[in-house]
Amino acid sequence: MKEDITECRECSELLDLLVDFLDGKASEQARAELMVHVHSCDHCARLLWSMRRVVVVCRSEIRTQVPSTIHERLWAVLREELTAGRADDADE
Amino acid sequence: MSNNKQLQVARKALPVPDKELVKRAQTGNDDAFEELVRRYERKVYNIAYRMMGNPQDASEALQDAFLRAYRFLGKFEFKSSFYTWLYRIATNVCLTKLRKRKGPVVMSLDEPVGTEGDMQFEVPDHKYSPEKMYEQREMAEALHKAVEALAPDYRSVVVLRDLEGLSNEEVSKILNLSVPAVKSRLHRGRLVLREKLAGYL
Repeated sequence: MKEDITECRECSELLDLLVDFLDGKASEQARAELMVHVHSCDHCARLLWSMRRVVVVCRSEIRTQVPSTIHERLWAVLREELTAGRADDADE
Repeated sequence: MSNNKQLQVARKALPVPDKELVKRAQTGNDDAFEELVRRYERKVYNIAYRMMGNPQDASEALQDAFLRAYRFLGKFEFKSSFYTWLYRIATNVCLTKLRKRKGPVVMSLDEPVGTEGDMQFEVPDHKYSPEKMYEQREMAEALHKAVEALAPDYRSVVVLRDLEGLSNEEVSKILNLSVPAVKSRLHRGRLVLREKLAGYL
């Protein structure tokens, strides 16, 4: 069976709600409609479950540290720019 | 400790707001600008790393973003928060670099998703094996690759919304898109991630 997000008309309408729903920002009515639908539609139930997992995986991703060489390079470049800026000010 | 002293200690401990630092930097106080860089270096690096996909290109984007911020700080008019403005610069730097980049064609978003066979929805057994830590690293790597497979316009929305945790409204300001456009790109981007990460979900 192929996944087709437009395979049921009701799904495509309800999918518009998904972003708000996953953010916990869907209205009570929209939320209730979506719940009623997913209880009768395996396709949307699977979609909702897997999309929720995608969001959880993304949000649990930890920010990486700036590698020390990259940090040092940034500051070297910035200090050069800031010094040049000060020199320009002194010339004026 | 007297109330006055307590207040003084509390005041001392409070970080200077971005707005105040920007004002000082605009009048030529480089220490204030350096404090802003220290505050946002890691966040901007993460946006750049996720947008560019490797540390080398992210490093260049990081430098370009802060250099531009320094050069154009005088034009910042406090119509948005400083970080929204800074992230817009960083994202634009990355998008420009990505458009110039020659390399493998990123996955088209015009193709319907889920055409590469059945999706797997069962949780794989190996997820509960003793090598869970290894699996998590593998997942992080898979996520990194999945994000890299997104077209840049979708990648920027996914990175800012789902990886950096910004709101629809903030992302709409950063990318100069309407909120419905942000939601639409986010939804389509997530559909691609879902497909790419199917074995891990």
